[in-house]
Amino acid sequence: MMSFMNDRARWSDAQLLAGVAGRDERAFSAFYRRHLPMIVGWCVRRTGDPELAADLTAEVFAAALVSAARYEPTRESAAGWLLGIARNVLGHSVRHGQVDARARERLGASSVTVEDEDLAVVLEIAAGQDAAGHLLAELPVDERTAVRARVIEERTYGEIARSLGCSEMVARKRVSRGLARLRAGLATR
Amino acid sequence: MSGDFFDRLEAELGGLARHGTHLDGVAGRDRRRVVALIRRSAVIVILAVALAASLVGEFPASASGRALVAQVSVAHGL
Repeated sequence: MMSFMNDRARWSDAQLLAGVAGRDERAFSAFYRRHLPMIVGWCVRRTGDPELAADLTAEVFAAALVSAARYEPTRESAAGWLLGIARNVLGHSVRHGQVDARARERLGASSVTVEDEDLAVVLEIAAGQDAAGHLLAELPVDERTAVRARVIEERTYGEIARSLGCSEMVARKRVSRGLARLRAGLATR
Repeated sequence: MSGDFFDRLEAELGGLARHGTHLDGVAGRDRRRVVALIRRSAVIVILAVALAASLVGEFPASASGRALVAQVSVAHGL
């Protein structure tokens, strides 16, 4: 079972979402684990309330599950697509004065509730995301741009090289150095 | 279910993904779109038929071309 999960962890977001559309539970898990910190961090920053952030996160991933079959990788990155869903969920919640639960209701998935002991986990995940964001901001500009383009925007090395005006090999080195600095920084925190 | 909120959420949504519950929703929406399209088409056809029927009722001769024949006959008679 772990080898299946490891396989999925190496898949691109587009492959994972195609898998989700094909009823692949492990593809969903890999996609969920990959993007959970980003969504939790985003929701905590926007609301300042860990309980609300957990509830919104649940709705975001339920909505992503419902919409997975319609994801078009040529239009935008999966991270951008997911953040777009998060913005819609938050906007709908603000307009209606209650947390959006339409996707969960449609799926019949409203049984998972936030307990008091979960709030610390929410804050821990958000803090980890903040730490990564701070470390990214501290990288030299060329490495930060390359890492962001590769990891967040999921662009190819060829595309990154063209936009930075350097060779593909230099782009790879910048991404590699940037990621190494991030790993080292996270390990010392 | 064990684990924290996010583990429980992963297990629940993953289970739904395995059962294809999310795809039922997509299929349902597609079905509703097709039904709405058929309804709209039917309304347009009914309106077109009703309009044609009212025009024929209003101008029965012109609909059959008899008015033109009558005018030609009158002209010849003169």
